[in-house]
Amino acid sequence: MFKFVKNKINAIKLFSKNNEDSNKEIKVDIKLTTNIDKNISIIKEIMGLNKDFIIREFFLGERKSIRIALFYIDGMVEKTTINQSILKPLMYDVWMIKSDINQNLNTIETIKKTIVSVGDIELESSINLLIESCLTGNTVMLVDKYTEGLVISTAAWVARAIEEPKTEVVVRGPREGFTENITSNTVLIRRKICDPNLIFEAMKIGVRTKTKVAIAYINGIVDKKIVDEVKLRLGRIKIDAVLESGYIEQLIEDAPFSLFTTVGNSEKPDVVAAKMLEGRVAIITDGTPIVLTVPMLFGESFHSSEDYYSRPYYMSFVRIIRYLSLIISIFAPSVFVALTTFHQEVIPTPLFFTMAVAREGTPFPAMLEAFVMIVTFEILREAGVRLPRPVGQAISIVGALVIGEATVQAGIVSSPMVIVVALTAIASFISVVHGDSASILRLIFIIIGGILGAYGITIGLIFVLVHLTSLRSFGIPYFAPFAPFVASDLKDSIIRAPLWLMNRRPYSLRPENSQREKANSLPQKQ
Amino acid sequence: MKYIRKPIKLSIILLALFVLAGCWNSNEMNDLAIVTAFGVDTAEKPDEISLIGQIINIRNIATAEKSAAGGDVFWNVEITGETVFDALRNLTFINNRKAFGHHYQILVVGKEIAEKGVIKDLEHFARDHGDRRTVWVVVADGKAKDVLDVKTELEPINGRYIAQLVEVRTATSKAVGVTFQNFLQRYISKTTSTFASIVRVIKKNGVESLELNGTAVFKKDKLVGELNGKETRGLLFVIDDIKSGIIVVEPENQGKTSLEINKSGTKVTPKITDNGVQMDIEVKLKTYYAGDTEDFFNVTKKEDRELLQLYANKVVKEEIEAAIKKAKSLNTDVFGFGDAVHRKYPKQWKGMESNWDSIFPDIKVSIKVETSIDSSFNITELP
Repeated sequence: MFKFVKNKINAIKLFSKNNEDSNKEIKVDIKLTTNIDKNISIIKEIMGLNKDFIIREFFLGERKSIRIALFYIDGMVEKTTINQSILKPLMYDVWMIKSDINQNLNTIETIKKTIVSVGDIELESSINLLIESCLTGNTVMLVDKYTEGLVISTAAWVARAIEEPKTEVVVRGPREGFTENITSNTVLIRRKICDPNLIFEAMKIGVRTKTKVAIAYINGIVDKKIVDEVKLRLGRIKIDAVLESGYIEQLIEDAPFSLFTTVGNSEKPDVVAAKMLEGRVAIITDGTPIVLTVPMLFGESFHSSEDYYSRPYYMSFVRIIRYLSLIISIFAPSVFVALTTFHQEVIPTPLFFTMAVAREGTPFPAMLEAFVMIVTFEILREAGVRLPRPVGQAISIVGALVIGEATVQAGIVSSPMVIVVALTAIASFISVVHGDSASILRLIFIIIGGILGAYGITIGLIFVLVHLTSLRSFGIPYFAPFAPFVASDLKDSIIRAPLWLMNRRPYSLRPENSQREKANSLPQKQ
Repeated sequence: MKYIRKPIKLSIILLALFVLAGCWNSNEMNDLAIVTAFGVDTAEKPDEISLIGQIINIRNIATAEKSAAGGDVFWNVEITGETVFDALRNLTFINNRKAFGHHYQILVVGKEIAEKGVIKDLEHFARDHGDRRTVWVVVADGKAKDVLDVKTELEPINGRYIAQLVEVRTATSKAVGVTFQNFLQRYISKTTSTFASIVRVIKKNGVESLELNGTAVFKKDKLVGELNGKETRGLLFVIDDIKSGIIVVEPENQGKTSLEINKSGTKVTPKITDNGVQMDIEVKLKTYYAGDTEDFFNVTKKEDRELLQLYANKVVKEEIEAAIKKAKSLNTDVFGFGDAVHRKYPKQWKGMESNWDSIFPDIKVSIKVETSIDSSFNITELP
């Protein structure tokens, strides 16, 4: 059915292909000329009215014969670097080595090699590229009579410090999280994996934002086909702006029509490092702390980095609880509705009496009751997320009073329903990744359960499972290791086996090198 | 199928899923009249029957949240009809909600109707998909209505009270608990007789209460007699359905003392000899010494233990003999001896099946009881 819809949409796409290139960059490659005045005026024209665009002109040489111009964007550069490492050597220190300058050497080469004391310096002749690098925080230096300019890396701007992420909170484990700065993010990963095989490939996506995107993987572990596929899909993206990794996620995912996401993400370097070490590819986007990881398996959403840091027994139990809570958060209200309207006979008799007493006098059918309660909960949750914190608290008080107390007291909603909805709500907070798909499925299942009972829920469940098993994420079956069944990967699925047992990387991800630790790593007594 | 397009194919499958599912029905809980007990009685007109549905008055049930509103917790609706199902549907004349029998707990059969033959009246409860067969069947000593009308303590819902009364029978093992399913199974067997507990209304100081007392024995579907408590336990020993119970032994010249049954196992082996059919009943009993005695027995001593075991064997043997004697006098094979013979001698059984009624009273029974005393609750001597 989804394929059918997809075909239709593809057809529509074909017709509208003509409009596709409207965002294409007007790229007339302008080269630098030997005349610095002309160059400056061209750049001025392109940068137009920008107030933060600074042009600094000065002279070099004994007779002040060499004209030099610096360009940079105010606030994106480190002023001390410009003052101490560019202007000072050129305008003052150069007198110490004036003899060298006069030797009619290639001046720009001299400046690059002997005078400017900044790490990253490149020669560039295209004005477009010079302006682009200027916009990313570099300083551009033009020297009269040269058709090449210097790009000096001076980028520095106010950035958020590395903090503990608000999501993915752990009791045990590193507290650091990614920031909006891609360089610091790659550093965070590099600090976890000290291996020359850790590769960061850079890309720029977004015609207007020119967002830096890095594809990170570990050579020798990752399946090369996955890397190629990631590159291919990223290369296909033609969009004006990439403001967050979500843009990329939605443009490269395998199943855009599915409720379930097939691209994983994390805000923690240790999680991303662990995923790369299992053979996944990370996609780091500038401007967001959320790093994407592909391929994603369904079970991954139940994993937490803490599972591996703490001892396995309790963590296996917690894993089971997590799976259980996803099931509860999707099915609890619908099963409750089905039981109370269709299958009263399967409820234990004493419970049935209690429920019947509570239902007595409530005006609405159970299905409507559940639907309204769940929608109310979603409203409250959304309000709680979006509202400023002090107001959010007021919301939760109102919610607790309105949903919990008043509706039951007034006899509008039965109290078992409130309990079920509350249980559902709590359970839905456990699986963050599938939380959004669970919310929608829950409502669908309430309707099916209310109309068709447990029979309908079973049909719905079969549909969901068929769909899940049909999904793939970058060539890897989404529902592995359950379907296709991979026995060895079950060690890290519903349970988390002890580390000394998990000697091999997950086979589902087809790693090139699957040995993770030496076999028989059981701790030994001396 | 090759030419049908995929979406059409898919929607056909989808439709089939919903159409082929069979019957379904949704009921809101607050539209149901919850029945906790059904009773059948004879009606005034001879060709009619009287059905009692005990309906929960849900508003008067006390929960943790609210206390009872006062008034009766249940409401016994009595209605007559030509058949049980007819009467059940007639119930809607006087009761505004549809009777919901899925959770009924007990089926009470009036004595009068039981004597006339009860299976045609109970058949509906076996057939109806909504009514479960795991309910207990009890015979009222009198009218079913009278039993269901009694207001009970601790558990205000009368139907549940009777069900729980049957459930706690295992403490004594002097009453049987027969589910509707068991009742029917025994009835279907050509030779085995079915039975059920008897519930009596007893009046003390003007207050009515219920008592589980004895076992009603049926010949086919007609009530023919009763077993008392002792005989009932004998029956339970033979059919190996003893869970617990107290055996009171009285060694000569020494006071009464009690043993608690912990475990009991019975093996019934039929034998066809020249003298007819013989049943070997072998009971193995594990008990705890529970004291209650004047003369102290130290069961860690062999002599004391053996004395008690001897008398316990005697008591059990007497109970079994009493049960067999009564069953023989009623000519009802409540023990399922016929089935046991059938299993062991399938060939000879063919000739015996039709005249089992004449064979059964002459069956010889040899009873062997082996009691062991395993514990004295950690008391060996009285302080």
